[in-house]
Amino acid sequence: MFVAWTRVVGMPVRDNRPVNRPHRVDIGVDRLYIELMVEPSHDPQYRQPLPQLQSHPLTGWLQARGWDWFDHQVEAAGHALAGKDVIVFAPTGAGKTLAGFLPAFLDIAERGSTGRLHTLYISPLKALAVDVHRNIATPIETLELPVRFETRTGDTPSSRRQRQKTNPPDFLMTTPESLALLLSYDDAGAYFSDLRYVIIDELHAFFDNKRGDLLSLNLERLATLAPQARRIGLSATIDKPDAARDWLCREGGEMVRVPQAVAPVIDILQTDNRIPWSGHMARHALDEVYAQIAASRMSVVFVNTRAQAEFVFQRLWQLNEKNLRIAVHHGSLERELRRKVEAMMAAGGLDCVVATSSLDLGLDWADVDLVIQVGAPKGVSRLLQRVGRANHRLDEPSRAILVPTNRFEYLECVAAQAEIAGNRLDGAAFRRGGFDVLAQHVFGVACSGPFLADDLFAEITRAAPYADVPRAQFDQVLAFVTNGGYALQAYPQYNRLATLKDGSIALREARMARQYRMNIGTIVESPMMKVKLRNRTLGTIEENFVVNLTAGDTFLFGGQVLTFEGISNAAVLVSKSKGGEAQIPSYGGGRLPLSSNLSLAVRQLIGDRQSWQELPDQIRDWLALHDDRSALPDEKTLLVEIFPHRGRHHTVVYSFAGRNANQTLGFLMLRRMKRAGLRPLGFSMTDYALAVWSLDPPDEVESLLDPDIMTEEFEEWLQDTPLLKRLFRDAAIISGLVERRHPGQVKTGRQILFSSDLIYDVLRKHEPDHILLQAVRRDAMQGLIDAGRLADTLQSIAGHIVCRRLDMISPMAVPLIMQIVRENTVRNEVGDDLLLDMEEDIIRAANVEQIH
Amino acid sequence: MSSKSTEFAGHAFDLHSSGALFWPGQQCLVVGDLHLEKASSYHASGQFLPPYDTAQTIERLAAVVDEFSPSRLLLLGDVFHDGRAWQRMSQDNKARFEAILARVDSLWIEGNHDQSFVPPGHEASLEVDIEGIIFRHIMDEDDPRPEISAHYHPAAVIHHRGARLRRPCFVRSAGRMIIPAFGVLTGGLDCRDEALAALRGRDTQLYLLGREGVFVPPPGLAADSRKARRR
Repeated sequence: MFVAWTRVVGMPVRDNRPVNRPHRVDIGVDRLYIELMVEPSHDPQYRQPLPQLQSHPLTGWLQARGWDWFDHQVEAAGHALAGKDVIVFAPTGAGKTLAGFLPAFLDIAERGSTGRLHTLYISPLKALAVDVHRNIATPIETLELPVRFETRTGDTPSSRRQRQKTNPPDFLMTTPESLALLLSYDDAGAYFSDLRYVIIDELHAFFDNKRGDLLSLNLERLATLAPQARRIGLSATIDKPDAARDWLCREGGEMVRVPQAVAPVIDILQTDNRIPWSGHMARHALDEVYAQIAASRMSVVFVNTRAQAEFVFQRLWQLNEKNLRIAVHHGSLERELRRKVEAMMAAGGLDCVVATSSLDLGLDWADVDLVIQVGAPKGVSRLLQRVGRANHRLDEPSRAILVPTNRFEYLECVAAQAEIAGNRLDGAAFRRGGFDVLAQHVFGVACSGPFLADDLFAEITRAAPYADVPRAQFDQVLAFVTNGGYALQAYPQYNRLATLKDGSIALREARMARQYRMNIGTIVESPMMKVKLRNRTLGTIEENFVVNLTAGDTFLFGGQVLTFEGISNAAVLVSKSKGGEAQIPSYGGGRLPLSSNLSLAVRQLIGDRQSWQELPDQIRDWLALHDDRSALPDEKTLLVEIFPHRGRHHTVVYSFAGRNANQTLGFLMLRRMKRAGLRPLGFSMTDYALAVWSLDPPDEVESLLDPDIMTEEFEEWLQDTPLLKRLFRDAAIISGLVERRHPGQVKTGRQILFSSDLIYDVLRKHEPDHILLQAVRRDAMQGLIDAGRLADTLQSIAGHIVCRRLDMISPMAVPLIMQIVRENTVRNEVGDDLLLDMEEDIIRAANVEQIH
Repeated sequence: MSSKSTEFAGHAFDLHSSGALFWPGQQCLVVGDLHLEKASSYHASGQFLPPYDTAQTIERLAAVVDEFSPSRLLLLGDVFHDGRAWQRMSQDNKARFEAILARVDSLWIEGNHDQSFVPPGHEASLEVDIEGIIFRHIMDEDDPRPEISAHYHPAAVIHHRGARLRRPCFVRSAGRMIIPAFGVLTGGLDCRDEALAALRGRDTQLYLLGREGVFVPPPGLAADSRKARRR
């Protein structure tokens, strides 16, 4: 069956257009692009079970152009109109947005506007909400449909927000945070009383984070206020659709699946240059990357970290003899710069964008025909979503090139290729909801009016992430919102909540709602500082990166080499550097751990010598050399190496457990080795392995890796770890213990960071079971600490450890030793030992006995 | 907990890892910036910080008084986080604090946070001169006499073998010493900050508070090079 696909509506599309040009048409004011997928109405089997659809102007308009609806759009609309929640799973750009809005269009055509909100569209990105606003404008304006539609985000001017409150549009495009805000007003019940549909776009982006927690709670709030409103989820294809349905849908929820029409074509960049043993900058491959960019119409070069983005962007400019229009896009660049790049992209004004995941979600991708992924993909699903961005047409394969930056990554890229060919997606992660988010939500509910604790408890446990919350914990959260929830009580005059005579709970003072509204949201940024070139702000950079700089240091930012001059008024002052080379920033955003799926595939590849035939000579030689010097870390064994290097003994564990689990194991091994008197000093980790260095070598490694480390050291470490402090800072802010903003005052990141550490210490000492500490432990287990994955790894390796004592560093250990991760965490683990080591160094150097 | 010894203005002092300073020659213990009732000062604004800081700080003070058994306790200002902290303090905490005061001769120096408040039965002065050393809350850069002060909550960042540690510290130059904050809920100021410029010098020594001991990095407190370049 022939499938025509267009992203623009407004003129008939002829099939004699050049195949690889997008079908875009200007119809007057603006370029119009709608994510509308249609097919010619030629199929005799084509059914239209929806009478409303037949008579709707949209259908006539499509048919006049020889098009018609796609089955999945009709099917999804049918479910929603029949009063069911529904999720549409479809590959990127398969007309999902229209599938979401179709029932709303049909329903409002029949019912007419009531002057109240009819449909709520929620997206994880403001920019996407704006984009979708533009997209649905096309049919509404062309057909002059009597539908009022508006966007509301944090950027919406307050005058318009005010009007939206008193005179709401029919369709409102917004974000989870703005929804929370709307729900916190005392007239929320009336405001949402006529709501028919809630469309959640990019649904898959909500399952494993706190924004998703917040959204799921607010969806239940909406369900209480507007039980008739149906939920329509639009998701990328994931491997656990049933879990997604449980997350979003109430009883009888339906799923509509749109298969990938054409498998993507994914290649690994072949290079004549030497692929390095370690490093992440792809220096060796960039001339070949440039050639690929030059040969494509428009490309996106995806990288994993901001440092990579900066480096790759700068190198490509140096190579840019054809004067291609290349731009860079990452999360620390000033918002306006990012918006400018996005607009240029949409307008076809660029040949290439170097981007981090800041460009990941469903923005308009214009004419991109090639995705280049620099660095290992880390997960199959994410890679597929990125690749799917290229060539937004279902009838042609997306094309992508993977660029491994070192030899380990080459293996990972080969494994990813195989997983995609076998259609094996990573396990989508679903998380248990955070208590900090719950606390924020309870405060928000109180802002909207008095409530009964029993009712609210029943409501929040209907939200999937909170289904397991026992009443006792909910009551602790309630107590926390009331007055901090401490065993030691004082000052009831300051309580936030009060119990009324009828037993309902209400804000003690209405003005407190302002505090809530100023602090909505679950995204806590790490402390950032503005980067200023004279009077111009270039963007922001992690404070933790800045503290490691001294005047005169150079670093890459926004594609320029900058010299660090100093700090003034909490801004980083820089000048343009004359020299071409820069010290690469070590700031790393958005590093995701390697998925278990992919890590197993890598180990299998290492163990399967037959499959080495497919590998380039240099990779094969590297594996053989490692086998020769040490042993191969295949899927059946756990390889441990012990070797001396620069006066320290290194113990390298090839766990393949991912960065987070390896970090946890590193902390636990430090403890165990310290207990054994080995005087460990630190560790570094990658996704594949972990290296711990110590002044004395271990006699044996079995006891260091015994699964009992997860009980003995783990509990103790969990009480103590600086990692939990990092999470506590977020929890303290999200829960409202420490406010981001207080009426009349702004806190800097540093103040929050420092005081939250101290608060954590005090709380841990006096109330170790306080709900916020429980919140932090609950969060930590599922992500940062990755306890489950580590326990699984340790269980599976017991009895399969192969230990090699070497005279020197092995080939595969090079990345660990070369790139000792500069942990910004305060190393309480080795704190005093480190200081002692420092003193001893000084004493040795000065050759004196002892400083008094 | 342990101490390191140093010499200042011709006298020997012990620098304790709690942040307290002991002067054996005078049997005098010096502490500053306890900031009692800091957490509760936030409660009025709806930020319910754990109300345990006061008890914990007092417990820490009791421990260090036990360790040194001083005859004099010099309180170097900002014992209380604000002027009404005493009113908020629980009876238990007041009793524990007063029990400590009863064991020593206490000398009170006015701070800036505490709005010159002292508990009933005590009096505070702006500064005190003991054996030619001036004790005051905030350093006076124009006074050339040897001086020991508090107020700034100095902290230092140490880089060693790829790790970074931030610790509260004593800062001691030839003529001045600033002691770290003693309260458990008190933040810190990087000692390279402009505000401590008067202590800069090659011979200035930092004493970092570890968990169990006091640690001594190489001497010297440079101007924060970043800021220096700007000037």
